[in-house]
Amino acid sequence: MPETTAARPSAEPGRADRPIDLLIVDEADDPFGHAFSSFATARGVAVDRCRLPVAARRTTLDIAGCEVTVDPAPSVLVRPARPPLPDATEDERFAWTECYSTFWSAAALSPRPVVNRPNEWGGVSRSVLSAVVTERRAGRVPVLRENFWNDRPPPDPDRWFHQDLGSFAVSDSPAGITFGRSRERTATQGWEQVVVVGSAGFRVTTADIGPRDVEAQSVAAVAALGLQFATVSWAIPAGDGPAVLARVNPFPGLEECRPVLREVFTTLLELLLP
Amino acid sequence: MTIHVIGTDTDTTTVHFAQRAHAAGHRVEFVNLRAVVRHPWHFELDGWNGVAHLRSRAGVEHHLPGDGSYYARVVDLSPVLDPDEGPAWTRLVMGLTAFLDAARGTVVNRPSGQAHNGSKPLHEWWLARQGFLVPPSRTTSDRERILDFLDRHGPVIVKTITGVRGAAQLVDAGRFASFDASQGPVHLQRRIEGFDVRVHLVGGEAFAERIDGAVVDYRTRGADITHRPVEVPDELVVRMRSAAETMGLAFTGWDFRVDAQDRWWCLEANPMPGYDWYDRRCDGAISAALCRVLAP
Repeated sequence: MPETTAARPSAEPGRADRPIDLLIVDEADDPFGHAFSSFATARGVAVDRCRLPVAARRTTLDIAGCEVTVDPAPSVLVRPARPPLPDATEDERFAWTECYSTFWSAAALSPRPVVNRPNEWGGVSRSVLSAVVTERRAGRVPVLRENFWNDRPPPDPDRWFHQDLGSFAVSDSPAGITFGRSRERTATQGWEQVVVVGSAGFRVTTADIGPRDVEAQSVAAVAALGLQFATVSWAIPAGDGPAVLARVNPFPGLEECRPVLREVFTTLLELLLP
Repeated sequence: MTIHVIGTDTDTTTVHFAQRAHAAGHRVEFVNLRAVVRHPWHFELDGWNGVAHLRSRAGVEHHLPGDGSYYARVVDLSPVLDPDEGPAWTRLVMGLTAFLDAARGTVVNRPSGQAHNGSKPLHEWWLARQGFLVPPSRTTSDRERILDFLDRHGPVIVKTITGVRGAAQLVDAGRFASFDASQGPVHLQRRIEGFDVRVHLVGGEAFAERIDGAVVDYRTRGADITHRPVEVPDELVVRMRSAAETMGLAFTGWDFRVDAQDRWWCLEANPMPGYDWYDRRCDGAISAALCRVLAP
């Protein structure tokens, strides 16, 4: 966050209602955004939800040298934004990207908490789809192969886990996937997932995974990627080997967080409204 | 040493570099993404040593070493492709950019080289933080605030926020007579009277051209403009080198406006310059410098 940013009150121009404390930028059908909004509202927080283009068009950014003004500047939770539909016109696509770029700057330069805050590295910081690159950026040494493919999964698919690059769902089988990402794995005893919120990591199971401290490793990986909120998926080998990082998701879904939802919501709200 | 050129055979800049490098005696392996993407493809990243293999069912195969040298212009062309090809292109770019981001060797136009040029307000703030003089700007969809900015600065420059599509234009209040928020946001920047300078920075070497003309955006097709070499102040070159290093970029294209007081106002730093037009006027000096960086 820039030290030089001058904040204006977080009242929205042209809106007579109470200034909002928290803006959730999401899609109307995002279950996480809906549930978190209800959680925050029940605690007296003035919450607004809107789509990214609406948020961008409400915002004015002034840049004068290193001085920045973002107006309005509420705390912001950034959720996945749905891009234009395939049949959108060129003008509609252009308008959407202009809004995206405006929101990226506003969220990066806002003096108030933004989760996950975009920055100079990108709209979702340094997160990247590739597990190999994620491991490298997180300071780990990747030892297993990764494939991106179209129609032709790697041979011997049982030795890999697979992600559909359309839906981003991860599965043990490449069946039905047209565009996929596959990560090699050793024999696994199972999977573990950790929800990271700031410096806290919450495992979603209580399974015995030995001495592997996946919570601390997840917090470190998420911080290295410049994120504050993410789920980290790990493949747990059958032997004593270290857990294998499968995926860092910068937009945790409600179902992913369900086993630890109260802890996640409470910590997230503290992060957004310190 | 092999220089791997990754791009398309329809991109004039990519083709220009490949031809120049080849003519200079370098071994060039051209990875033509247009040929790869037409058939089912497979891209493998070896986690341990960073090697990648790109294969397509049409028999195209490329071995990409993690410590290799790459000149890459990898952009997502899916919005302008047929619906059949677009998704394949998007996913191929996902894999390639991941590899090029993480490759240990020299990568010109490394995709992770700070993307903020695609978000102009952030980019301009970042340049100011690096010590460059940057004209003030306002980004808004609020007509009253647009008029307020115009009232303070007179006619101003409007340009796209993403940096794609459309030349910069000079606008006044009349342009916004019927403006409403749904047409926004717009990015306005104070107009600097003077002349343009384009600088290509390759490693530590700067190649600069002064551009004079009566047009607002010298890139306008058919514009009546003149070019001539110009010296860049030493302290500015030092600042550009430092900024490029911070961005992790071996090659950058800088746009300046120089006013009557000889102040150099920085408009932007392009992380993937389309430089062939300039290179032809300096007899391939920029390409030669790129080859020195890629195959020292």
